[in-house]
Amino acid sequence: MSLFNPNASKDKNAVSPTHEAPASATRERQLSLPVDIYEGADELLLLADLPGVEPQGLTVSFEAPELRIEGRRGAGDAAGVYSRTFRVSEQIDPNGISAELTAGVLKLRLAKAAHTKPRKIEVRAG
Amino acid sequence: MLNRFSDFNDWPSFGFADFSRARAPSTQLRRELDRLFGDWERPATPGASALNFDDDGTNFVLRADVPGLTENDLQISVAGNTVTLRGERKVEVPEGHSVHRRERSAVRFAKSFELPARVDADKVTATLKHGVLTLTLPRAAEVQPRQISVKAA
Repeated sequence: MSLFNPNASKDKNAVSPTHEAPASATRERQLSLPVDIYEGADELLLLADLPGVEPQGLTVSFEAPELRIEGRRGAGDAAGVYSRTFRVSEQIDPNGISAELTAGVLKLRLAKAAHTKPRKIEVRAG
Repeated sequence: MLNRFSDFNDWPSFGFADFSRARAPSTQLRRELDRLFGDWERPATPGASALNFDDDGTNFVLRADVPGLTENDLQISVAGNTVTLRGERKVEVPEGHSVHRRERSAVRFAKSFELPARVDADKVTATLKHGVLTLTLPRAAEVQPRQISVKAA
């Protein structure tokens, strides 16, 4: 499931299924990809620095429990690949994932599956 | 002493400031980090150079990674053959959220670079795209390479 790259299938370079050999198996330069991960009541929020990556060069995929981020940075001295794979143990609603790329920073929101959200149990008088 | 462009590593790290510790955390911290997100791939080149310099004869071109910074977070000044970049990125925990992993650094920098020749400060352009700042600095007219034609005697 490709969330961020609707044209992925047309671009033979843009898709790297999670079980394929990682990009490091090729000669492409691996770029540093630092992330912050925050948890709110209803979501996990992941921020990742991918300077130089355009939206069409970014692929975010989630196939429970694997979350994979892969970004390709263009030609020239700065060219390379950002990639990381995470195992997400929290139950995620696969339809509740949104991704936004601004100023070279990916903001990924993963909505928790409904049954894992904290529930308030009403106490009724007997 | 100003920095020469040959020193490409002299650019602030926007992440993995604490990389060596993050890679080998205590068992307890490790468990904490892995509670929600287990990470089994570490980037291969922490702190890779994010500064790039080109000289095409007419312009000096400087590219710097500044992920998360907007126009308002950057100040650029040019005087003679010195260019100075200032910027700041804050990293704040979103309201109502707890922290599970923090690798992106808050950054504040002021870096001056000495260019190989004087530039025309009025014609310097700066663009910011996808977290990369590109500065195009035309050489001052008097230092533009001149083509000397050889006449037959």
